[in-house]
Amino acid sequence: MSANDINDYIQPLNGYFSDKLGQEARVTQLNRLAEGHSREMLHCFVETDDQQLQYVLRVEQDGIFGTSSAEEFRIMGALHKLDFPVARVLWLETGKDLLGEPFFVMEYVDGEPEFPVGETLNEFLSVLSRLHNLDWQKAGIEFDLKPSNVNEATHMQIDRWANIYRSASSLPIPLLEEGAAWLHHHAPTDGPFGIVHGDPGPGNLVHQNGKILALTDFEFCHLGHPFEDFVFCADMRGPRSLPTEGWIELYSDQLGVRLTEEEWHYWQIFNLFKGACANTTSLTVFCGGKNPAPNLAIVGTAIHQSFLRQLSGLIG
Amino acid sequence: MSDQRLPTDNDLWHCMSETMRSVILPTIDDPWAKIALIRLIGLAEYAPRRGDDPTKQRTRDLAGCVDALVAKFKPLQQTLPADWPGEGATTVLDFCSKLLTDAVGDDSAQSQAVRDELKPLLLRQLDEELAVTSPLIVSFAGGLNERK
Repeated sequence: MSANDINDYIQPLNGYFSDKLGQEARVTQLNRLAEGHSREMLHCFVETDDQQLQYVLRVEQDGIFGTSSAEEFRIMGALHKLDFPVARVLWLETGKDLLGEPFFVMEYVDGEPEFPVGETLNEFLSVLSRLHNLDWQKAGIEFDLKPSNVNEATHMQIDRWANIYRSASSLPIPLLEEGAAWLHHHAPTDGPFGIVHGDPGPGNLVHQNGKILALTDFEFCHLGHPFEDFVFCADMRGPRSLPTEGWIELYSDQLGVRLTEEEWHYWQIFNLFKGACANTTSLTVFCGGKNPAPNLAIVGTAIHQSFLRQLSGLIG
Repeated sequence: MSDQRLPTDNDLWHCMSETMRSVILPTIDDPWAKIALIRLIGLAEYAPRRGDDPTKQRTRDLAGCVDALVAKFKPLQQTLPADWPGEGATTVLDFCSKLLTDAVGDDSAQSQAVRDELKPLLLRQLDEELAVTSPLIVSFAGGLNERK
């Protein structure tokens, strides 16, 4: 089932929700909530005899970006138990029988549609910092990769993304291989070690009246160096709300976090490498005919090449 | 002179992109459909720009660059794959990867030569590719490129 025919989901979902809710349920509306290249995010309206309910379905798309719904579901569930602002996850389906892809269901969190600005960004940074500093061991959060320190975590993530690209690409990409080697060679030997969101910033959070109601999109979440998130946000997602320089000031003023030039350089290259590797999976899905959506063709060509060019230029 | 009785592929791509731009796009309100169509227009304009697959020529150029490095740095001869340059692009790209990764953190003359000669060639090839694909980045963000 491709991204273009979400109404085909309605019939199977009627039975699914009836089963989960223990009474007859009907899906009355299904809307795309946000554009996701690796996951469809669907806002689902469900009606029973006595209730009007709203859920969000997060549906995988042919393994794009090589991430797992099961891990994301597990992490979000554990974070919710800690009263961390994240939507409550309800049901995980790892099989492909129902919708043709694994998916999970979470509660709908309503917020303002605009990108956050002003004080909301301070609030967001507090939440992100809380995530970085959570005691995941005490909370019992299980990650697929289990490094014991930041150095090991960084090497694991480099290998993870390199292996995702190697599995997806029909030919070796020498500049990407150089990127992996450079990142291994310059990996931080120490530093803060915690939960990294992996894709934080405007567009991946729900906010209202200056409050962060939920961080979303935990598919890249892992153990690692929080600087990965800070640079990712300031460079990639953040400029929708604030120029990169503004984020740097905010990190310093609010969190007392100041990255050296070398640290900034390293995590810029790391994030571009991660993106360039992940993007190769889009082309595999597109060229294999599994999902002929135009965004996948573009992510796998121009966006991938642009990331690769930037990271190779930064390596020098 | 080409056969005027049949349209060329370029004619057909042009027909598709122009019709999508001027006839279909103005009628679409649904934001998801609209951005999908804009990306489709980008792809329809990209397809005829691509030309022939450059992989063979690029592989030959890379093999030539590696041969020149091997001629300068004899120990490299020992590390060349037995079937060098092999069929297709895999052997050449694999060996280019090995040269680049071995050069990371190494200041030897050989590694410097890899960075000075092989990497710029790979970057030129990537730039050639990007020159053709980069308008797709505008399409991806929901913008229409200027007609060419």
